[in-house]
Amino acid sequence: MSAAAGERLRPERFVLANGLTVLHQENAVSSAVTINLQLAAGAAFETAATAGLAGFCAAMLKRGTGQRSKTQIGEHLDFTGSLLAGGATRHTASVGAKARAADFESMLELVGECAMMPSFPVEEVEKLRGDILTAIQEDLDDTGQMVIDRLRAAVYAAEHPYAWRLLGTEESIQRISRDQLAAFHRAHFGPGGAVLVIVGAVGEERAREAVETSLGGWLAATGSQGPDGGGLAAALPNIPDAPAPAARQTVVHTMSNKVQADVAIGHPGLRRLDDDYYAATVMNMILGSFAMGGRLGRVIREEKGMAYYVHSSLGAGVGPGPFMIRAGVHPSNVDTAVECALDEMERIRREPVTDEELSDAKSAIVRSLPRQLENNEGIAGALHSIEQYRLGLDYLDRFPDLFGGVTTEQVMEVAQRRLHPDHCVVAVAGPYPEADAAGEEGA
Amino acid sequence: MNNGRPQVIEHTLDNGLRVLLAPLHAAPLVSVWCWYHVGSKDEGPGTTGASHWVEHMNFKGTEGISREDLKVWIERAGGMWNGYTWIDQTTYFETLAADGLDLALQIESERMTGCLYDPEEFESERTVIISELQGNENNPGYVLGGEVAAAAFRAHPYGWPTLGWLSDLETMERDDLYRHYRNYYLPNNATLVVAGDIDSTEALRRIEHYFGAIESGERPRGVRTREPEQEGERRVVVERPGTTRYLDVAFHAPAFGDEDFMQLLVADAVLSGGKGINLWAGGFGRNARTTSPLYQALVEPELVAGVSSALLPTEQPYLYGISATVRDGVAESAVEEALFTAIDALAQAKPSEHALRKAKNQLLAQLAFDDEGVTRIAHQLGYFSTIADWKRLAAVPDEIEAVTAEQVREVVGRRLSARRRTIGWFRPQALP
Repeated sequence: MSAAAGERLRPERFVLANGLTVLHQENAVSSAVTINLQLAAGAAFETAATAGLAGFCAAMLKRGTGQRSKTQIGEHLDFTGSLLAGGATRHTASVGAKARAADFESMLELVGECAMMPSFPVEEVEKLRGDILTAIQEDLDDTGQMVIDRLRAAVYAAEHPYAWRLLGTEESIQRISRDQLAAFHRAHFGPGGAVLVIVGAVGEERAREAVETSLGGWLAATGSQGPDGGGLAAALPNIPDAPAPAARQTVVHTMSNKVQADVAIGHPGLRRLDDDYYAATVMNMILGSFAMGGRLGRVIREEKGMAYYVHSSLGAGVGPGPFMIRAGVHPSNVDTAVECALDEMERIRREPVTDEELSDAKSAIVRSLPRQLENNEGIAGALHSIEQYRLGLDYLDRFPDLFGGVTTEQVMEVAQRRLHPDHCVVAVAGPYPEADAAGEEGA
Repeated sequence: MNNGRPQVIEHTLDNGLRVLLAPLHAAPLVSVWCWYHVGSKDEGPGTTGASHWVEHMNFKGTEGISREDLKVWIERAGGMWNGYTWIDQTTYFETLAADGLDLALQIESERMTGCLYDPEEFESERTVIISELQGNENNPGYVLGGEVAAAAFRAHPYGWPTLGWLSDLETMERDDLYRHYRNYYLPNNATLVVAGDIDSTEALRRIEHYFGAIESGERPRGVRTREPEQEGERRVVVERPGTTRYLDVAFHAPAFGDEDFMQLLVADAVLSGGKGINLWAGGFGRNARTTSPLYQALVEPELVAGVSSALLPTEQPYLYGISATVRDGVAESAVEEALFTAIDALAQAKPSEHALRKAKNQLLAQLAFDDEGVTRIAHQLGYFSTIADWKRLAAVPDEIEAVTAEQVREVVGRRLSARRRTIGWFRPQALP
């Protein structure tokens, strides 16, 4: 089954003379095409003081280019019914599009234009700044957002690129100038550090021709593009290690206008390319993912009825983590839920998982592959990971063995090495501590 | 090549279970959805939220499958599963490798008749349900939307929230739920959709095996209440500690089966952009497109940070909603004036041919995007089977094409008039 999935996917990979890497997969059972250009231009290239710069820059790309105004770009998208968005994650920025296959060439041209020659019109910078500030203001009233912010700030040192918010803060966004946006673009957008993925009802020849036409003339900018021929993987930021907290630490963000509290427990985790990744994925599946929240779900949701949602995630990226357990619970249940979660972290370090748990978790991972490749977006996502982490075009063929070989001992060993219940941050955002029990800790 | 237009085979078992099969062989996957024609509109005071709670209970074990196995079987096979409840329907699904078809069918057939409703599980789930409600109540948009729906509907049960009122969730008893389950979970009140890498003859044989012996029952009468015509603007205000001001406007809208539904769908596409007819917007969101009148009237002049709108396909007349996130310091009156001027302009003058073409192109593109993958395809077939004749789904592109500019003008004037709207404001009070 999993082999069939790998066989179904036979992407072409080619590199243009200017260094742009292209991955193309035809999917004729779709009348649409997904185009996604990814560059090493994420938030990790910011500093705490310029937090939000990468996202601001990426969102500006469709607000005017050297060839078209925002209105002209909007008119093209709206007349064809296509979608186009720029965004940034920790490591990368992207320009993504979805269109009917008939509009492929014109959309690719627009994607290229936005990536190559955004014009950052001053009035559009100001309008977008206002939108971002409103979003930041909304986040201040969002328990889910606040708990993650508090956790990151406590887990990572202030200068670590995983410490700050992707959206930035009111102060940082107010400070970012038009010139800074343009300079960030110049420094980080170029063909050498970019990968373009095309998936959909477009054949290889057509894809090659359109890519050459729209992006063949993209010249490397003067800034750093990563080593020649290194592609996206070589241009990615260098993310420093992060030590686990010296002791368990609790941070509380009291929001007494809320009904429910969001809880996050976490610490620096592992990197995607660490050898531990495959065993850790299986371990996390058992702890907090399999069958609606794994062991955590069974105890906290099913047995104790304390939460609508509870789960854990590895967070393995270019850099370390964060590993995180999340739950939404009534304030009176926060302490018990945290205790249960920490107990489960401890238990999976102490006791071997059962044979059934192990085989279920591995089977769930390995056999989910065809489902992950169900539509164009899923395939594009898989191809991006393969390129970003240099997993090799045969990765999907090797996928079953990589996870299938994980043993009980490896799960316990990786839990001991990678889970730190005594050296983690417990963050709570919401009406906690409860008003009548708050004592001096409120505010 | 199927190109997203599967040949759908319809078959009704002797017990009344409607079966829709969509063979699609592009990937070795199958998606099984079991739809029940019951949602929150079929509840009454005291038992609001029962349909949704029933959905939760139906994952807690059956006579033949334990609570654990209900979750484990599908995941072990690499599949995904879930369910949801809304105003007209309750549904459960599994998407997994095609050789797992039997697992999914067995689970769904057990779910139709054999759920346990163990009293202890019932009590434990009460707090989970309340936790789900309270998680939503943390969100100002949820609270405001609920207030607006409650004000717009005085008579019709679309006015109460699918999750139910808190006091009902606190006091409902196990037998209230069990009765609701037994009343509505009948083969002749359900549609089973199977899309994917199947042989339809063999699939039908397996479906007959699992569902054929289930007895049909008497279908409860549907909701007969019709909302009286609204005769004047209504206003509601939510004042809570918060950081941001939000506006929600709702107009009484046609049901999917009403003759002017497509006209209003195209009118919405002209006003703010085409979103298709998927309850989940196909994952692409409902924000106004940049060249649309609503974006130009509200976002461009920096009155709001975002505006979205939604006309959802429903069985009975529901609401056409517009939501906006207001920028700090902007007066409520300025936002209302800009919004209603843009709507009134379309009621006065029909859209240009270019604007109409653009709106239709957007809707047609969204329909194409929705035809990607067996899960989305099966969802759409089943969803429409609970609110109308599913066959009409195939006619939607032609019906969109047939809408004229004059019809758009006319429907906006008639449907989106001031006397038919409910305006809700979330006014943030200083944080404690």
